Amino acid sequence: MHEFLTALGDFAFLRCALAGGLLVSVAGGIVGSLVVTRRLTALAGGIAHFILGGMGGARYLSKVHGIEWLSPLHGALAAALLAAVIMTFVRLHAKEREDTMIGALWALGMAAGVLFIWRTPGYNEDLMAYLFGDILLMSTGDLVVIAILDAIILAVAFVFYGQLVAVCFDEEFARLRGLPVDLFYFVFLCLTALTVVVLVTVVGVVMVIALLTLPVAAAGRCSTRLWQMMALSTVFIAGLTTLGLAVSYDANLPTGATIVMLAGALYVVVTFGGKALARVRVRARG
Amino acid sequence: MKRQGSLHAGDAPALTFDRVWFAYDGPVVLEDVTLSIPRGDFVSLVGPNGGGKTTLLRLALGLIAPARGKISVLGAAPADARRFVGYVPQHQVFDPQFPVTVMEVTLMGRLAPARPLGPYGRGEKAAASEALGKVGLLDTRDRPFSTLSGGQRQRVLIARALASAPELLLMDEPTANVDSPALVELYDLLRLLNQTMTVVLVSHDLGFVSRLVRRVVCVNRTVTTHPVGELSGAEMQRVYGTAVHMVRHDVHGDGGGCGCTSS
Repeated sequence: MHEFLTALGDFAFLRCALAGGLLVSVAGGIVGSLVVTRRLTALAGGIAHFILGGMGGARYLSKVHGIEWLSPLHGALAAALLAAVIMTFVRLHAKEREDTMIGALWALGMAAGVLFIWRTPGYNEDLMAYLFGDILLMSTGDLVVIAILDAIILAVAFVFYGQLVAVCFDEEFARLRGLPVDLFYFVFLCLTALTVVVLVTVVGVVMVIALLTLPVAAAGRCSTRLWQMMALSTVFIAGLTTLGLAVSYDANLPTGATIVMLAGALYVVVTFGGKALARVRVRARG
Repeated sequence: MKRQGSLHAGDAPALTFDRVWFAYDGPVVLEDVTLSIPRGDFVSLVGPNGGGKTTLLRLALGLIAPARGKISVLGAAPADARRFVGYVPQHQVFDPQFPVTVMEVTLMGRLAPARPLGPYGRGEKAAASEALGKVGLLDTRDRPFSTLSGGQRQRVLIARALASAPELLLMDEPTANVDSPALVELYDLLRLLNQTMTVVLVSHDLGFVSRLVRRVVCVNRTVTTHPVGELSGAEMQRVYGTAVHMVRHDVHGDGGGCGCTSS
């Protein structure tokens, strides 16, 4: 740990990574709480994998067709929002089963990404960064983007808190109370899509769902209100990214995978530790 | 509780169905349903599973539209009347792990498109507290919804509906998964509420219904109305397969024979 703290003073890229981890925790904690309570984990996973197509496509266009300003992040954002539009449309108009569509987006996005990367000259290291994340590549520009997203999500969560609780808890009742439930769903999917994109920069396409659900589920076990779950999830994700960064730096391990393993450990401890604690309490009372 | 405007149709019946037909992409669920429930009435929809009780409720809420016919709620189209309708769904459909308190659930009843943005205000909280007081659960306001018993959850959902000061209360199976002491409390509560509003509920529990409601609407693709009385209903017996002595056929009604068993 001491080694990590010393390095933090020496290297700007490490400070950037640390700040990035802290910033994504706000978006991840709030949106993750909504994803988990609305049981849309699979949908978030589908969006995450779909954006690989966007990242690959953007990189292909920039390298092969010389559109140099286009970065993989742009492609990811476009793909994520496209997925949100498609899934909202499917829910409102098509008779297609939602889980079938999620599976289709999931696989087709991956396939498109692989084909684009195959056709793009250069090293395939980028592919590894997209799939498994590389928080050490976080730039100050990325930090600004994430901070803006955090601000938007915080504002929405504050202004529409009561509505969000109602829509997540009982969508039909919310509709009967005159809330624009379908609009809420679309906005929610867009925020989920954007959050997935920023989390992908930390842990990658494959593992993003772990960071969006494991700390959140652990927080849910310790919360009696949705805002508590959001706040605690944010704290958990911030702790996990920071600890993951430190551990992976000291032990020379890939950061994304380290963070996800720590998230898994947190989830197991809180879930099963909580159950054991409850049993002990019951026994003490009996 | 302050009323948020009015539909200006104080003399219109609470609920009317005029020759309504409905089908979900398949066989007809409701066939030529005509029905009128006056204000202040206390009615239960009974009938076998799949007979169309819940469909009838969803039509009244405007969640689905009839294929043919006209539905009017408090003198208006169902979607326009929603603000004045309190809906109480079955309590066991909710995620038991959802982090929400009793007060937060009740406050959902205050939601409306016109309410100011941001956190709930003092007036909204006062209205929710008053509704919780009516169902006798004000002392549980800060407890997690998931820690309540089935009967208590049911009453919180009633409080949520009451928080909007409805003129018509629509309830789906309020007696499901509620133990008998809680059933007695529910019985008293609904009686009290019926003094100020029309109550329409869906129920399987004929014993519960017969002690409580004034009329029974028998729904099995077609619809017939019966006043609650002492005489046995032979048709009801055939439907439920047990002796039912509480519902009398309304020989003077417009139905002309019970629709419960008509194929």
